Amino acid sequence: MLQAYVGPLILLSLGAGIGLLLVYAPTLLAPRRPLPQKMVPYESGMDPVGTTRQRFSVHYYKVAMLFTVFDVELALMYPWVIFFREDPSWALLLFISFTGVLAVGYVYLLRTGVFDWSRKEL
Amino acid sequence: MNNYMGILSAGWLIIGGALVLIAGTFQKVRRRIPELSIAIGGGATLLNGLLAWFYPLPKSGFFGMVWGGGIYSFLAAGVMLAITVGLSFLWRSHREGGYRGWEAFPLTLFIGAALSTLPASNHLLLSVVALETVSLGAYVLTGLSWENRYAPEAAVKYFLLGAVGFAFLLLGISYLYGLTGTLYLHHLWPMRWTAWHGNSLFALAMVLIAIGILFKLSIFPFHWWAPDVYGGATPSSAGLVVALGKLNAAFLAGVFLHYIHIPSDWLMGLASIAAISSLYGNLGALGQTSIQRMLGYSSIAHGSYILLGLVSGPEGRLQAWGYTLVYALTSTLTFGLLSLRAEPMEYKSLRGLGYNQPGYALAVAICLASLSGMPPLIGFFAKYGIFTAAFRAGYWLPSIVALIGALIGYFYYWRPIAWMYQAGEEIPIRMPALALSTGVLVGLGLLPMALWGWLDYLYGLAGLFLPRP
Repeated sequence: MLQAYVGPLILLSLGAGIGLLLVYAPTLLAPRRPLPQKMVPYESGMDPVGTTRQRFSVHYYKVAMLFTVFDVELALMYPWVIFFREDPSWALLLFISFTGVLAVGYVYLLRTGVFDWSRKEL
Repeated sequence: MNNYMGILSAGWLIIGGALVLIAGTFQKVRRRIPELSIAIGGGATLLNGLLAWFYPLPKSGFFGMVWGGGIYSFLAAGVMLAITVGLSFLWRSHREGGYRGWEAFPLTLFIGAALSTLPASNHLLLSVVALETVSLGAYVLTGLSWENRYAPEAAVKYFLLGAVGFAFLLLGISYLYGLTGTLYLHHLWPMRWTAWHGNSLFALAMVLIAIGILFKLSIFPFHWWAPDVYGGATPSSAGLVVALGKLNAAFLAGVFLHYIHIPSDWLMGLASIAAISSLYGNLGALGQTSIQRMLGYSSIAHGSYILLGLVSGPEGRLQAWGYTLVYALTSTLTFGLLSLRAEPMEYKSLRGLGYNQPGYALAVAICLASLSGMPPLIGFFAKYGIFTAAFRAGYWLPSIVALIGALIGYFYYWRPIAWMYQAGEEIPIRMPALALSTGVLVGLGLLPMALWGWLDYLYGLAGLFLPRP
């Protein structure tokens, strides 16, 4: 019975092994000549201004939510195209109801001023 | 028509909730949001009640994923009744708070749509989506308050621990799918489970699912979040949160225990956990001085009675569902009534209330007495049904231990009632008032028994009493 798990185990160890290898190989193999310019975080050749730890605007979480919603919509669209050929009327109803629910969320976000970036309070 | 019966009420609630959500963004309409939401919730209650009345035989529809009519509409009507009552208590706190956080109303309607689909679901994916929609809404309702500084803490605790429980449940369901190759519940029913009973994968799947459900039901080893969450939640929505959690877990567990054959020694183990949990919850509630925290501890005990019913065969599952509906309604009423007062919910602040505000005090007293299981009230019949089913199923020792816990419950439920009727000055009670209140007490207790009989009839008609092939 344990033999059934050998395949996944090999896959798991290969995945973990390649990941670890890629992370640690440069520290072993690569030549290191540290210069002050090379040690700063990448800022397109500019000197960094201020600290990297900053507060995000609280609006940001709503933008993230918006992105997730539309990402999910794309995930639905691919199987939907296949389903459309089998049963077009059902598929149309399904898509109208799905985008209808999405549109309600979008209108709510629009009306509560998520896209108004100049507003201070929510 | 018959095919869409299962999604009729959910569709009504989702469309209604969406309309309320958009209407609320207009300043002028915002003041009418609570009334509109209560009307939509009440409409869903009525719609489900009518469906249960006119179509007593449940029909499957929507690709065989949802049941509609019969017992499923009855359960949905019960759920929507509790939610409508909860909404009407939210109304008052929002009117005083200037409609801040009015999104709670459409959110509660969406929760209602998901929760009324949960018992009717015939597909595990749909069940999981419904379960998690309800849970996510409950996390938000927990932390609704801006004034109460404990509410956000309670919400974060509830969210993190609820997510852990849900992860266990989902992992268990994925193992179950791996074993059986189907997510349709009616495919699981005729499966030859005895062949799987010795299998370690079956054991793993069942343990993971059991952990997930015990988390949601707040049973003893997985209970530690319940007092903090229910004790710290926004008072006006705390009753709704308690009710949602219990209904969620009871429906899912009932469906699982019906379709999957669990070995009898496992069921005995679950019954023993329920007995320990009853003792723990009731003893914990004994030492509390705040009513809300006491109700939080007692929710552990109520979860244990529900679990005891769920494991006691088909009859016990019927009683457990009935008990959960009763508990949901009573706890929504109790928390809601207590949240109408501005003072903190300490026992001491109730002193003399029975003489200053007799009607209000009588209502609170009836709710608390019903939660304790006082005979002429519905809470007694619910408990009686559960314990009878557990004794018939042969769980003698767990039932006796849980009964001892329930007896302890009488003490702490009656303490706030005793505080309410303590006063310095003597106020004579007139005979007609006493007769009227006794009449109300008995009437409120006996009226739901007709509904109980109806539930019993629909349960049998849906084939949930059927012995395993």
